[in-house]
Amino acid sequence: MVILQTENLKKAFGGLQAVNKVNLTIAKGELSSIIGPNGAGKTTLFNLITGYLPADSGKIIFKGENIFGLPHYKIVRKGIGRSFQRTTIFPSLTLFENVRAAILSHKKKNFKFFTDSNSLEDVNEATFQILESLNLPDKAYLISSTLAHGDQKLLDIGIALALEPDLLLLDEPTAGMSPEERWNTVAMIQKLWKTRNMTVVFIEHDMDMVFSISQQIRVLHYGEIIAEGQPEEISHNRAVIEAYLGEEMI
Amino acid sequence: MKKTIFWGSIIAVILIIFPFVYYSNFMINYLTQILIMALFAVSLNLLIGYTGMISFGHAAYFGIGAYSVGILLQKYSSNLLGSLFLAVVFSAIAALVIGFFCIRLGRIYFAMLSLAFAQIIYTIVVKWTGMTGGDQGLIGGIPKPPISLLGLSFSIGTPLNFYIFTVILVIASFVICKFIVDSPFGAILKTIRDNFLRTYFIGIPVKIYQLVIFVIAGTFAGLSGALMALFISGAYPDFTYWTKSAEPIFMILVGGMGSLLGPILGAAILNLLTAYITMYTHLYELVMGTVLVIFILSLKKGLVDYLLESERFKRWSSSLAKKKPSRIGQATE
Repeated sequence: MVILQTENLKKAFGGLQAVNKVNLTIAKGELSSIIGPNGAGKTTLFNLITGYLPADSGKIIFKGENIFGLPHYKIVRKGIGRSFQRTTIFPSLTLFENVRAAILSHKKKNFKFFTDSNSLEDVNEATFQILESLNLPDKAYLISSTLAHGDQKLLDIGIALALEPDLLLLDEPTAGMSPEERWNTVAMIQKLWKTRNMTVVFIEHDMDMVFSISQQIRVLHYGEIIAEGQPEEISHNRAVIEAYLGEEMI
Repeated sequence: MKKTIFWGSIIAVILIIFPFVYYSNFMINYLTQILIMALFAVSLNLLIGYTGMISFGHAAYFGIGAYSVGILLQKYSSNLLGSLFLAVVFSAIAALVIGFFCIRLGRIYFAMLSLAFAQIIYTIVVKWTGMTGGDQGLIGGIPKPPISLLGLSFSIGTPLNFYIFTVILVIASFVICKFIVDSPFGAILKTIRDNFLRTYFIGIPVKIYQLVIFVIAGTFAGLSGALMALFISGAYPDFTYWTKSAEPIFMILVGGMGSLLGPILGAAILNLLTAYITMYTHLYELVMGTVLVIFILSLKKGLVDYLLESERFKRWSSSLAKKKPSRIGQATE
C-alpha cells in the first residue's frame, strides 16, 4: 500500500530547478532514505511535501488525498511529522514542555483557556512515554537550550513523534553527532519505526547508516531522482557512483 | 486553578483590609494607580513576554477604554458597570480589527504597524473634538453613579471605595491572566514565542493564536484605561499617545517579562520612583532615565526574572520540591 506519492513535483528558485519532476512512491511501513550531494534538493523535497514551501506544480498524494497547496499546519494534522536539519526546538522551555505542546496539539487540547496544563493526566503520561522512548526522562525538567547537541536533535525528533505521525520525515537526524551518539540514534530510529508502525523517510549523509538500515534508497541529483532501489542495487548503480558515492564504495 | 483563585482571593482580601488598618490618602491613591498600571503592563506582557509579540501601540486600547467609559457616562448612560463593560468591549473590538492586520507581519513590522494604528487612534481622539474634547481631553469630570447590584448600592465616589473596586477588578483580571498562561492555550503561546515555525509544525494555526491573545491583551488594556479614566475623572489625548505605549514596556523591562509578577512589580517600582523623584526635582525624566539605564545594564533582565534565575533561588525552590507532573503511580520527590 502506498502512503505517499508525488507526481511531477517541481520547484524552482529563480533559475535553479531545485526539485524537478519528482515522482516518488513511498510504501506504507517502509524505512527508507533519500541521499544525494549537497544542493541536490533533498531538504527542498521535504519542504514541499510538508507544505513549508509551495511547490510550483505537481501533485502530492498522502493516504489517497491530494495535499498539494494545503497550509503546513493542516498537513501536519493529516499525519506527516518532520524534524529539521538545523535543530528546531523551543529553546527556553523544558523538554517536558517541548514535547507536551505537541501532545496537546495532537490530542486537540490546545485551545483550552481555563484548564491547568499540568492537571491533564493523559497528556503528562503521553509526554513521559515519548521522553522515555528517547531515553530522556531524567532530563524532563531541564531547559532544552542547555542540552547537548545530540540530545537536542533527539528532542526535535521527539516533538515530531508526539504527533503520532503516519509518515515521519527526518532531515539529517544524526548531523553533528559523535559516532557513538550517531549509532544510538540509528538504533533508536529503527526501534521507534518497528514499535510505532510508522513510515519513516530520512535524509542522511552518513553512508554507513544509510546502507545499514534503509529498506529502500532514493538518490536525488540536481533535483531529479536518478536511482531508486534496495541498498544492494544502489551501491552498484553506475549513475549513483558517478554522481555521489564515488568509486571506493564498490 | 483552585489554587490560583485561592491565592487571588487572599491577596485581594489583604489589599482590601490594608487601608482599614493603616489609612492615608496618599497611599490609597498610589496603590490604586499602581494596580491600574500593573494591569496595563500585565496585559501587554501577555503579548511581549508570553507570545513574543512586541507591540508599541498598546496605548490605543488603554485610550479607547478610557474615552469610551468617560463619554458613555458623561453623555449617554448612568449605569456605571454597563458603561465599563461596553468600554472594555469597544477596546476588544478595536484590538480585533487592528490585530487582524498587525498579525500578518512579523516581529519589527508588527511592532511598527501596531504603533501606526495607535497613532491613528491618537489622531482621531485629537481631531474629533465634538466627541472627545480634542486637545483638552474629556474635562468636567466623569460622573460615577452608584452601582446597584443584587439590591445593594455601592458608590465608588470616595478614594477608599474606588480603591476597593479597583482591587476586585484588577485582581480578578490577574487571576484570569494566570489561568490563561497556565492553560494549554498559554503553553502554545510560549512555543510561538520560542519558535513560531516549529509551532506550525506541531499543527497549530499560529496566526489565530496571535490574534486571540492580541484581543485578550487589548481587552485588559481597555479595562485598565477605563479604570484610569474613572480614577482621575477624565481622559486625555496622551492616553493614546506612543509615550503611553512605552510606559508598560518600561515596567516590563524593569520587572521582568518571564512571569505575571514581573510587570506588576515593575509598575510598583516605576510609580513609586516617579512619586519620590517628583518630590525632589522637576528633572524627573533625567533621573528616571538614568535609573532605567543602570537597572537594565546591570541586571540585563527584569528584576523578577533575575531573582528566579539566580542560583540561590533555584536551590531554594528545588529544596521545596515543587510538585511537577510525573507519571501516574510514580511518586514525586
